[in-house]
Amino acid sequence: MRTTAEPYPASLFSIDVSIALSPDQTFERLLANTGRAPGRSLIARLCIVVLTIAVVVPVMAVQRVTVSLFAIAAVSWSFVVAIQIAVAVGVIVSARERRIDMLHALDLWFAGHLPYSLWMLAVAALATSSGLVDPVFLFATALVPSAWTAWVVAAFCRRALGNSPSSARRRAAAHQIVVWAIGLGYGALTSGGWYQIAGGVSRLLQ
Amino acid sequence: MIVRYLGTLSALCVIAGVAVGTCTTITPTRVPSRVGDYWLLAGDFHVHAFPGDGSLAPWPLRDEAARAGLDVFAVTNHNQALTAKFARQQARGSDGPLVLAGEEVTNREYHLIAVGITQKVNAFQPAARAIADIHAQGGVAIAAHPGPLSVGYTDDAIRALDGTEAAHPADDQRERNEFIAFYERARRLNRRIAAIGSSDFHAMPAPVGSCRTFLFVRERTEAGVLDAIRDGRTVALDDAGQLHGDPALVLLAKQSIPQQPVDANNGWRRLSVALVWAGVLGVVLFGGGVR
Repeated sequence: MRTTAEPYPASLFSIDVSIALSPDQTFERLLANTGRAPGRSLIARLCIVVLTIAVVVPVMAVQRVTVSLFAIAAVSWSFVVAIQIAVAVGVIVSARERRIDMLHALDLWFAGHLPYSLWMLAVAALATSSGLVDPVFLFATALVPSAWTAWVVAAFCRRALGNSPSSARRRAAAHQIVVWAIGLGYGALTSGGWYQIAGGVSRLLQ
Repeated sequence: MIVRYLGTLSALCVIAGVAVGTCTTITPTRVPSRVGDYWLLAGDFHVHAFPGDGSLAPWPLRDEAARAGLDVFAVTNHNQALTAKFARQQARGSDGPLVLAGEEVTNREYHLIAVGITQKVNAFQPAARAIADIHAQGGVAIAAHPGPLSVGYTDDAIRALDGTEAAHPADDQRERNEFIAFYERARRLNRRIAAIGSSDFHAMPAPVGSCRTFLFVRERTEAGVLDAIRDGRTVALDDAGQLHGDPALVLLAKQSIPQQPVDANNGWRRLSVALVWAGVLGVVLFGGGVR
């Protein structure tokens, strides 16, 4: 029988992979393991997300990674991570029955980054190998990590926030709606208007 | 044993890839050629930057433009000129390509490139009026990727244009033909209209300068570049290597255009990208310390 002090069993892959594949069991195990340092672990996870973005941006744009490209992309696009933190805090704070403190909850939340991280890497590989990629098609493929993340977030809400299954599903759906609204809003703001987004969607449907 | 250190090895792989990429990235020195009384410059007047819907901030964009053999480029984000003005400001007094402030005036009826402006141009007005606003600021107005959907380009608006994108990254030959057909129509209405080649770079290939404009300029300054566009002293190069524009200038450009710079370290660049990509994948999967 596993005790609360027992460390997470050694594995070839990171805990984040376990969370992506079997979120309920992994979150439950992590909640039982009180010996972890959530602050350090959270910073490491945020660094992994920033690292992924800082590499994917220059690889897609110029198929080159230098120190300056890497550093400037990391600084420029870290606002995406800041938005993710703000949205996560919103979800966590609004759960009155949560079983853990904010830092621990944020650490577990960001452990669910794998679907989007893998998607970004896949898109970068596609852009680099094919040379020309339709951005509308790429955004459509984001539905896969979106659905996958919703599944992980629902498990997080059930286990870490103590939500009922239906409430957890609603929260996960609301999270995805907020994330997509922010993403599409940014797209509309910077590309000249919502009609550009609508045009892209209609082109995709055709 | 090695399994224990997969995350760390992955992180080292990223560091090695970035180091290889940095050490093997060379920016060739560029000296524009002379053609009679003119300098022959290479420019890209339709480039998006961050913050905006471009992924690269102005600094790396300028480095990439230099590597692509460009002498001048314009930052033209949709319906805002802040990023462009910042890019122009920070490039002042330093070596490298000239950076011009611009905007892609964007609405349902037309997309219009404004280059050499000082203020944002209102996008919610007829094309002819937007062009007049650009001229009032001392800038030039270029029709962006004009096609059958660009219904805002009336004959009056076309007569007022300084240039039109005859070359723009296209999905197929049909699109290329549309840009050329618009250029021919514009040329019938305005003999001096400049043929422009632009990459419309955002975040993915095609890269900066993939389509470009060759300009015959009297002086290598912003004023010289804008004058060349106003006078139609340009030739557009498309992504298939074809030149478009006034036949006499096309002939002249064919004899004078320098060879595109070749990346001598292309193999190292690919290795660097492969190392970094595999390294990040490893960090994501094996944790890089988060286990």
